[in-house]
Amino acid sequence: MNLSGILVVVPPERLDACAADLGTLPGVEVHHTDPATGRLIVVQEAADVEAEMAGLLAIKARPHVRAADLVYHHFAIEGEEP
Amino acid sequence: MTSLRRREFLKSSVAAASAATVGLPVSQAVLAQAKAAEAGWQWDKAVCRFCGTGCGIQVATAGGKVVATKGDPDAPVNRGLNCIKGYFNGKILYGADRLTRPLMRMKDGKFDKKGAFVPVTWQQAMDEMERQFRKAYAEKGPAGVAIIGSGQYTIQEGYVAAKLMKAGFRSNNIDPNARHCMASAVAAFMQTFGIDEPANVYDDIELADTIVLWGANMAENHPILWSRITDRKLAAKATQVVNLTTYRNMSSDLADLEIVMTPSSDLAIQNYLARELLARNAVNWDFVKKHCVFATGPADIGYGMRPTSRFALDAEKDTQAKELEVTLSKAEAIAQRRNPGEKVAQKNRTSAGRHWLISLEEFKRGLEPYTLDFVAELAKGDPDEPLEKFKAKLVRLADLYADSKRNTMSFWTMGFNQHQRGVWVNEQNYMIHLLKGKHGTPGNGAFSLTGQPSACGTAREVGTFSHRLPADMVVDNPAHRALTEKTWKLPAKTLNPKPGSDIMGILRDLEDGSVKFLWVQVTNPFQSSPNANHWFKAAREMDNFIVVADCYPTVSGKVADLVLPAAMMFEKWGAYGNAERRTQMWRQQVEAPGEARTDVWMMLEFAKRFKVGEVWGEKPLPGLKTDGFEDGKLPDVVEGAKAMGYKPEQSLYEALFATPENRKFAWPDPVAKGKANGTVKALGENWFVEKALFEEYAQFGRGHHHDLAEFDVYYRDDVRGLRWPVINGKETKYRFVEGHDPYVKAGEGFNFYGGAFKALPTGTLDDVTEPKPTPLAGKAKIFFRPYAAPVEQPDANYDLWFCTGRIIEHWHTGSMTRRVAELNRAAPSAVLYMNPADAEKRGLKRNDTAWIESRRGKIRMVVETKGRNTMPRGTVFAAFFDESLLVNKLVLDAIDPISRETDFKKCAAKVYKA
Repeated sequence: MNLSGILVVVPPERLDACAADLGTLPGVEVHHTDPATGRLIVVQEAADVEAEMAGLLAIKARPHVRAADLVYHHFAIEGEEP
Repeated sequence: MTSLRRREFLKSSVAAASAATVGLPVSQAVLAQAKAAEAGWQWDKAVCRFCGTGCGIQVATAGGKVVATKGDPDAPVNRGLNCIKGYFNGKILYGADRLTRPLMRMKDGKFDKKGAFVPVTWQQAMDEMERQFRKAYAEKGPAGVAIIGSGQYTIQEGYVAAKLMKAGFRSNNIDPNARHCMASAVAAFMQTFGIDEPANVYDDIELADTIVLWGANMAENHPILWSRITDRKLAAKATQVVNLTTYRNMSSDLADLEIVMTPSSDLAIQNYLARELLARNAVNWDFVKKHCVFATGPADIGYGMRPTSRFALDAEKDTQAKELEVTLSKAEAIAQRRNPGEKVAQKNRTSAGRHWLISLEEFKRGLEPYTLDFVAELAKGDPDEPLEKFKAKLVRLADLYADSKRNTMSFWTMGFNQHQRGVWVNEQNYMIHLLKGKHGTPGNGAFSLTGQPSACGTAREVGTFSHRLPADMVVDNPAHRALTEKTWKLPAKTLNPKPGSDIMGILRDLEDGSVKFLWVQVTNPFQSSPNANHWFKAAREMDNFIVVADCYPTVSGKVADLVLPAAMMFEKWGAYGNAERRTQMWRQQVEAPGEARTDVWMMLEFAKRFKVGEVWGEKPLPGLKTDGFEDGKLPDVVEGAKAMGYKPEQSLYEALFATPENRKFAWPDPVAKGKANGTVKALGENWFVEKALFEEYAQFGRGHHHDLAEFDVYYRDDVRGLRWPVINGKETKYRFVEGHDPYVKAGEGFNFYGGAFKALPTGTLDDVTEPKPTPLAGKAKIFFRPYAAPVEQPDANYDLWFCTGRIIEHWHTGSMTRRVAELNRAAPSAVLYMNPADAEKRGLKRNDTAWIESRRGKIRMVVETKGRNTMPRGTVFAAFFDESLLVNKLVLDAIDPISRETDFKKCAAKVYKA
C-alpha cells in the first residue's frame, strides 16, 4: 500500500465544489485547502505505482483542475507494511 | 496501534508534510504529527533520477531502505513539486527483478556465446571480460573496443569512463546515448557561439511574454517546467504560448497558437520568420552589427547513412542510395535555388560541418525564396486545415517574434535535435533570436532543453563523446590534446587524435566486425537505437563480446554476453548537471542489493588488470593520418611515461585514478555525515574516489568558462545546485552578458567568447571564395540554412509518416519506469496513434490490432484514434518505451551528418489489419 500527497490547483472560486468532486475519486481524501489560492492537498492511497499514476492522471483530468503534481511519496516495500 | 489507525495517522502526516512542502498554511499541531510519523527517518537532499529538468528532491531512509521521497521545497527548479515520474524515484530501487549477481552465457562451465545466462562470481565475470578485451585489443587495437555510455552517467562515472578509454586504452570509441538526444544541440552551440550549453535559465519562464515550443511536447516530457509555464500564463494574461508540432499533443491544450507542420518544414518556417524580420525592418541592427556575423555551409551533406548497400536489406536499398545522390524535389529546388529534378551528389557528406562567412546581402539572397506562399504550402501539416488559416497562423507567429516589446523564449527538445538537419534547425532558432538581439537576457533566449538528467553535466561537460575531451575540448585539436595530457599527467602523444565512432557508428562497427568488444553502461542502446534488427543480429551472430552493466534485465542485457549488476542512483555517490547548467550532488543513501556494484567500481577494478607498459606501447590505428603522427599507428609512449616517473608494470588504476594527488582525498570524510560509500568499500580503499575524481575533473573547467565550485560546496545544506560558471562562490545566470557573466568585461555589453570555429574563410551561399580565415573573437554567428527534405518520405507503398517519442508515465526505454514489479502485471503497451480517417481507410478502428511495417521491419500494435495525441491524416505516432514491441525496429537510422544524431521522428511506414 502506497500513500502520496498531491498538490491540486483549481480556480479559487471553485475550491469547494472541486474538493467535493475530488473526494469522490477512489482512494482520494482532501486534507487541506487554501481558499485564497485555490490550492488543495489530497492524499491518495493506492495499491501500487501503476494505480498511483492512473489516479494522478485521473485527478488531472477532473473538470477545472489546472494542475496536479506529486509532492510526497511514501511507499511500501514488497511484503512489508508502510 | 492497529494497522487501520496507523494508516489514518500516516495519511494525515503525508498530508501535513505535503502542505508544508508547498507552503500551504497548516497548524503547528498538524506539523508535529507529521514529524512524529517520520520518527526514525533520515531525510537528505538529492536530485530526481529522470529527465533533464533537474528537480530537487528529498529522500527519506529508515532501516537501510528508502521509504519516502518528496519534492524539495528549497529547490528553485521545482519548488517542492514532482511530476508523475517522481513516483519511481524511491520505488525503483526495489523492483522484484533487480539484478544482484553477474550473469554470463555459459556452456559446460565455460563462457560460450551460444550458451545460456548463468550466475557467476565477479572474479569469473571480470576474468572473462579481461580475456575478451585483450583478444579484441590485440587484434584490432584501440578502434576495436568501445563503450556506449549515457546522459544518465554521474559526472564521476563519465569521467572515469572517458579517462579509462581515452588516456588508458587510447581509444576514442566512447559515445553516450546522449548522442541520440542532444548532439545536434551541442554542434549548433559550438558552431554558433564557439562554446556549448544554454545562455538562459529556467527563471526566464516567469519573465517571458511569448513562449514558443518547437518540437517539444513539454506537457508530457518536461511537466514541471510546463507547470511553471501554466502558472506564468495564469499570472500574466498577455502571455502567449505557441506549439509547433507535427501532430496535436497535450501541449496544445494550453497553447494560444498551435501550428501543425510537415516533418522538416521547421527549416522553412524559420527562414520565413527571418525573412519577415528583415522585410518588416524588425531587426535589432545595433546588436547584430556589434555582436554577430553571417555564415553558411554546404547543403550536399548526405544523411549519415552507410555509403554502401552491403549491409542493407533489399527493401532498404532505395533509401540508402540517397546517401550518395539525391534528386531534388520541387520544394527543395526552390529552397536551395536549384532546378527541380536535379541530381545532387552528396559531396560534403564527410565534411558536413565546414562553414564560412557570408555577407548580409548573401544572407538575404538565401532567405528570398521563403515567402509566405511557398512556406505555407510546404509546411501545412494537417491536410484538412484550410491553407489561408495556416497562413494566418504563420503571420501571427511572425508578429510575435517581430514584436520588440515582448520578451520571447523558444524551447525545443527532440523535434529539433532528432532531425536529419538537426544542427541547422537549432542554428536557425539562434538566427531568429540573434536578429532580434533577444538572447541570453532575462526573459529572452533560445533554450535547448535536454531529456536526460546529466546529458549536460556529464555527456557534454565531461566529454564522453567520441570526439570530445573535458570542457568542450576535442581530440582532433593538438592544443586540446596537449592541455589534456598535461592535466592528466600523460606522456605527449598518448591521446589518440582520431575521433572515434559515434553510437550509430559503434553499432555499425559491430555489424561489420570492426568493433569486437563493447561495454554498455547506464543505457539500453539495443532498444533505443533505430533500425534495431541489424544490431540484434550483430550482437548475437558476429564474433564479439558484449558487456551490459545495468540494474534490471533490459533488451540490451538480453542480447549481451555478460550482464553486470549495477548500483542505482541512491546506492552511490554522484552528481548530475541539468539543462540550465545547474550542477547538483547527492550522497549515497542506501547499500546496493546483493552483489550489485557501482559502475565506477567496475571500471576501476577493470583498470587494475592492465599495465601501463601494455597499453602505452605502439598501437595500430587504421585510417589515422594527421600531423605529428605516423600514418596508421599511435606511437610508443612508454619511454616518455618512464621519464615522468611511471613504471611499465604499474596498473592503469594506479597510473590514472589512485594517483598520489587523488589519494590525498581521504575517506571517511565529514561531508558524508555518516553515509556509506559502496565504491570505496568494495575497492577496500581509504580514498574518497568520487570527491577526488570530481576535483581532478573540475581543473579542466576552472578559468576556462566552465568553472565548477568545490565538491563540498554542493553538499552544503543551503545549496540546491549551482549554475556554472561558479566564480568566487557565485553562480552565473546569464552567459555572455555584461553584469551577469564575470567573463564579460565592463563596456562589452555582450561577448560570445567561446573559442571554437572563431576564424573562418569567406564566400557566397554556394562556396568559399576567400580561403584566408577572418578572426571573429567574441561574435555569434547568424547562419543561413536551407530547407532540405527528409531522405525517406511516404510513397505509394509506405504511405504514412511514422514518428516516435515519449509519454508522460514512461521514460525512454522504460527499463526503470516499467520495471516496478506491479507494473509488469498489467503491462500497458505502446499504442499506435492514428487519424480516424486513416484507420477507417484501412478497415481499422480503435483498439484493433494492426501491423505497422517499414522498409526495416514490422510489428503489431493496438490502434488508438482518440486520447492524448490527435494525428493529422497521413501521420502515425508511437512511444518507444515498450520492450515487447521494439518500435525502433522500424525506424530509419539516418542521422544528422554534422552532429551524428539519429532522426527518430520521420520515416515512411504502412499500416494494415493484423
